[in-house]
Amino acid sequence: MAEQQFLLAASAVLFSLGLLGVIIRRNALVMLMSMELMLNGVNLSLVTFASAAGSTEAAVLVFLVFVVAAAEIAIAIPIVLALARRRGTLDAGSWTELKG
Amino acid sequence: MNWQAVFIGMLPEHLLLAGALLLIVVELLSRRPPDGLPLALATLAAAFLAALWLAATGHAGEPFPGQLTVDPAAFAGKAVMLGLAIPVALLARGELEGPRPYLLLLFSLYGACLTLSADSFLTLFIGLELLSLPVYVLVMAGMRGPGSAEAALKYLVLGGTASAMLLMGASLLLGATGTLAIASFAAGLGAGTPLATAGVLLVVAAFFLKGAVVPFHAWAPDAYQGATVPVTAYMAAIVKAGVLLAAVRLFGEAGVPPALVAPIALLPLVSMAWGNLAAIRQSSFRRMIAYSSIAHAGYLFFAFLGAPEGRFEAVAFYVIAYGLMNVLAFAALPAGADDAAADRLESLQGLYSRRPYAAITLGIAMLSLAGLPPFPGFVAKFLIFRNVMEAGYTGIAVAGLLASYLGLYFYLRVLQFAFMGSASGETIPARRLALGASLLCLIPVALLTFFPGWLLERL
Repeated sequence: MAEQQFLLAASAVLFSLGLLGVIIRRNALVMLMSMELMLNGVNLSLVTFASAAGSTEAAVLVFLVFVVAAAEIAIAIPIVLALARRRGTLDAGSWTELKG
Repeated sequence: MNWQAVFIGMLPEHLLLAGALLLIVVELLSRRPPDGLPLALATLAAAFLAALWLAATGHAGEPFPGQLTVDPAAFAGKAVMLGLAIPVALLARGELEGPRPYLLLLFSLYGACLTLSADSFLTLFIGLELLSLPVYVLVMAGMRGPGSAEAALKYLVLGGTASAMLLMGASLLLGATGTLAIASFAAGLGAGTPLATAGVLLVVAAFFLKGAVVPFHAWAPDAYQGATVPVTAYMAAIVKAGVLLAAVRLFGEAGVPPALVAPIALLPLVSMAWGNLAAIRQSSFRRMIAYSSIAHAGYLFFAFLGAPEGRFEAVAFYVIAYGLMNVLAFAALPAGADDAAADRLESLQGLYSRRPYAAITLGIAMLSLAGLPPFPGFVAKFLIFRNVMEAGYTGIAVAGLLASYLGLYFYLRVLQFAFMGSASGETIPARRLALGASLLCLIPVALLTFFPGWLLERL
């Protein structure tokens, strides 16, 4: 039981760190990494609850999360590359094309 | 597995998939990039008719029990989105080249259809991701200005955050109720334990993010402005409809418990006021529509305060009216080689004296979005606020109504540009196929204006 609580606390910490990173960090790559961190927090909590509830469905969901996270990054990296080529920086704060 | 149930119950999805695969084969086999529009239109029409037919015959089944079930309401929702996609695809002519944008459109619609039949968070997650991932690429695909990539990245990061929140909420609900079925959300609403409440709030926050409710709205103005007109129309009409109809399915028969009324009422209320106020100072048409969509997301999420019985009816009518109006407005916009200039509100100056038909359809769209009678936007708003009042939240409904009429100013300002300004020398080119798209919207708009009851009886 104590082990489960520890794992859940760790997953909550991972998720919160990721969320905080998405909100406050301005480097595009760090934002993407924070997004991954959130998903890993989710995975840890899913696995913990899945083993507690004996749910295969939740374990399958973990694998789907991997796949979708990879797909998201596969779309994100070309976008970041296009932006970095055009602007010469990865700092989202300095991209001011869209404001208001 | 019951093959017959899988075949008939998922017929709209199968048709979309077949059309998309055919499009890939055609692209592989032809030397020059083929024109994807005819095939995409045929696919959309076939899937739309299939969904309509299944909704009309009241088909219900369980293709994948526990994961994916179909009922007439789900088919009606699918028919709404597939039907709205037809004029959107017509708008894409001349903006997006080659078959690939249509391919992405079909896959995104496949995801939208999945979300409406989802019975577990697993299917819901796949559906929402399949709905969103192609849209990130489509936002980027225009690449008219430097803003496109920036908009796509912002949309992707915030969309990914929303997915992570949805999954975390689902995981906490799994811990609280021991199941991943979406019924665990309704159970969590009533449970009142900290774990279940945290899960419910995370799932609701994820839907607020996908639906662009303040304070989770930051991506919408950028994504709407950075994308090209057909993609913006797609996001405004179909992505929003998909997210909201999925939320209706998620809430199911559950009402909002008193403890959660504050966050579920307050954020949409702020959204209405802020969306309408921020829209006033925009000079870009698409950015203005984005803030208007933030306000409309507020009205739509208000529907969840009402009784569960009238909820699907109110939300479905609203997304039909709202989607039609947006596509109608976008079809009336001038096309231009310089996208940023064509997007400015000033470019509508004197539209009436040059293209009266476009100006009139734009006027109808704006008045309906503002919620003025006799247009369908009024009936849609009326249904939602009536449900909120009947649930006993009179104060909240009155505040919402007041906030909603803040929006009059900027909708009327568009009319002022279109009708009162004198024409400057240059001509405004119309979009190719825009007439077809706007006629496809105008006919249902006329039906909804004169016979709203006919549709309401059938929802």
